[in-house]
Amino acid sequence: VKARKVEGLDPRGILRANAARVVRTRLDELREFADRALAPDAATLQHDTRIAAKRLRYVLEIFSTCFDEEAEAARRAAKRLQSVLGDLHDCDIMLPKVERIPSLAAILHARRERLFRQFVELWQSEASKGTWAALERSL
Amino acid sequence: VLKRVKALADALGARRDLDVEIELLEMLADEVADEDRAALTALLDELHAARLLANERLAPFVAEKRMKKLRERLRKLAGSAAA
Repeated sequence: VKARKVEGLDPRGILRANAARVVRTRLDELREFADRALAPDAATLQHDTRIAAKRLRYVLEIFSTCFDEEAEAARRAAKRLQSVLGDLHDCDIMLPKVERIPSLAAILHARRERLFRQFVELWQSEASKGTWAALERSL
Repeated sequence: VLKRVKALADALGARRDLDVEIELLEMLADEVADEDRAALTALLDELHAARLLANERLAPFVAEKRMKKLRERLRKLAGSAAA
């Protein structure tokens, strides 16, 4: 999925203000994808959520000196999401290739279900902790 | 410069995907039923062969001359931004 264009960047402006615009755009993308990826069979949206989490994480890493601990907590959460959704995506890639290996297909299906539950729990846990809202307020 | 970095990232990604697939299968191999072991071995052989091919495809992207040129372009770009 193509990254959304960040509007209003000023190449000669203050770094923190520009960084905040980039982070806000990436955070919006993550929230929009994740909210729609909470259905078990929404594989494409789960993949898009992983990409959005990756982009948010790297942006927060690059601009880490501009922000406070809310950004660090969000970076850690994005990294966890990226990891779980990455493992889930690996199952999606592998499943069509193992159709002729029934026991492996069953193992991968079970693994995918487990990882999907982890994703939902993680997303809901970060939402209830207020990780994304805190990041947004700190920008 | 962005086009070159993207091309390099895509080439590395295609190569990395095969590592991930092989790693996943090897991690789950012990849990596979005995009657499926031959099929799993065949699949792993296919993936190993694909990885060798991917290595050949990746080689020109990470050739010393090309990497040196990319480093120079990036340095120049960073210099122009700082000026």
